[in-house]
Amino acid sequence: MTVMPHAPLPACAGIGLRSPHYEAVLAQRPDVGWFEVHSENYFAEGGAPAHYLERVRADYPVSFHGVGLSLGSTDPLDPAHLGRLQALVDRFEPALVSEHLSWSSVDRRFLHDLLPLPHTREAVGHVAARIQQVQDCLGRELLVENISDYLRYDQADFSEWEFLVETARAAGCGLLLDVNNIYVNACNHGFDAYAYVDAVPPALVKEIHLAGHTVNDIDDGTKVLIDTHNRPVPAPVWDLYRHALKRLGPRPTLVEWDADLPPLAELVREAHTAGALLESAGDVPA
Amino acid sequence: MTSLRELQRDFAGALFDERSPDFTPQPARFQIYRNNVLSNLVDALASVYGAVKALVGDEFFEHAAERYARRTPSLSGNLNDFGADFGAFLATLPGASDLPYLGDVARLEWSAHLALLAPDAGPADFSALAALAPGEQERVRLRLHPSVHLLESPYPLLRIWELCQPDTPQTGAGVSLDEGAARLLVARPRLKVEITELTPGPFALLAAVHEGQGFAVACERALEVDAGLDIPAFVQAQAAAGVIVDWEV
Repeated sequence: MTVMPHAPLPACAGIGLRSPHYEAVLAQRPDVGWFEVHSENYFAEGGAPAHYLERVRADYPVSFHGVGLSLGSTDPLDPAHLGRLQALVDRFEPALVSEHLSWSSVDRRFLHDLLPLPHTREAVGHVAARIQQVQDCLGRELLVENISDYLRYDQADFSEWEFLVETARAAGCGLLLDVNNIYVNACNHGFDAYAYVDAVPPALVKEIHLAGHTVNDIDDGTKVLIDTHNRPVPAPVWDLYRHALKRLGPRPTLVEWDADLPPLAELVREAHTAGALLESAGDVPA
Repeated sequence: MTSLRELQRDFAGALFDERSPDFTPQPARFQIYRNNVLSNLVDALASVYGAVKALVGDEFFEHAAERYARRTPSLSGNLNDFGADFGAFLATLPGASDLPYLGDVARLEWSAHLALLAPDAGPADFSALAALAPGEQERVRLRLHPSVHLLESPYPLLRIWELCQPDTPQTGAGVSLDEGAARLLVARPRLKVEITELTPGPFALLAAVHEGQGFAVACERALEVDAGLDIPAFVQAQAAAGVIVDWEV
């Protein structure tokens, strides 16, 4: 099956749509380019989530960001989960559909966390075939996102960025580049975040994520950055984003904030900061 | 070399078994995953079972939810599907025997959770229903909103549940279990879940419809427990409320 490109999202800034903001979004119609939702939160056919998403969708483009498909698992893909995603895509016609380059289930047990894959040839081949299966089922391109992770396996045929690019090429999918996750992993595993961004072919990147993280002291006496999405985007992540825009050109950019949600106005302000950077990057060829 | 399958099995096994041999040379890093996975599952239970949590207290809840999460595999990639039998599990815990109604409160909260996730169903045109000839009316089947759940408990369940809601003013007054049994209708006719206490006649009628009985049988069962029930008025009110959504002959 040919994967058809859908109505493209302009390279502007969007925010996540979260239930505590439903009423405020409809009342204020904030000046943001688009909204992203977690696909699984809209799997129910009825009730409040679908009601509000329908109204938001009438005025804004939306993007579906999945957390539960378990792309990297060695279990078969769950046809029921995929079916519900398909129904959602048919109903709301999102501009983008994305998932994570990770696994979250084995032997039919779901772990509800984005767990790291080893950066091996075996994993590239496995997950690329699964991404193709999802693209064939949905009849459209899937974007896969680089995750934050906290440990590395002994086995590795590739660096993290090689693994990401190899997978996207083998699968024929696009990338959702999470700049915060690159920064978090660079600090946690000791590599150069800027070199990572430079190694990603611009043509593969269709969306960018920005978010905040926390710095935690752990039991072995070291500090670990954890991808918590519960605070503003910090200065070093904005710096890396500026570099990414210079290198990749402007891309639709989402400010993610999932826990300890601020008032809608604060989220919108973060999106405007990203929007201003996108505009000044606009003269770089995409 | 470990295959991807073996690696995922070892990882998942070590997540739930603190005594498992070190999965990685970085055990402190692995502990982050143990914490994340458990707290995601515990948070999911807490978001469904708020009244249970208020009844048993934060510490007991956390402990019970962790034990449940370790032993109960989540079988769906959608976290909303997790926790169906948490109430039954709670009832087996030694500390819970002081609260005999705990399992019923959990059942009510799971029903409300499912009601939230149910499909929508619009109201049908009921005007032709009243115009049916008496013989035809007996063959009518009513259809309830897909979010409807009917619960019976020997305890004053709605009063207990209300007392545990965060917006209920805490007056210090408790609920006497002598207030007796509850028959509850849980439904989400529009956006919000509504929990309503029913008397025996209306409860018997809706329960019969819910289990697939025709209108004639449902009326019979309702009149057995409440001979004076004004059935047309009750059906009309439930249709207006969006609980009865359709009918067929």
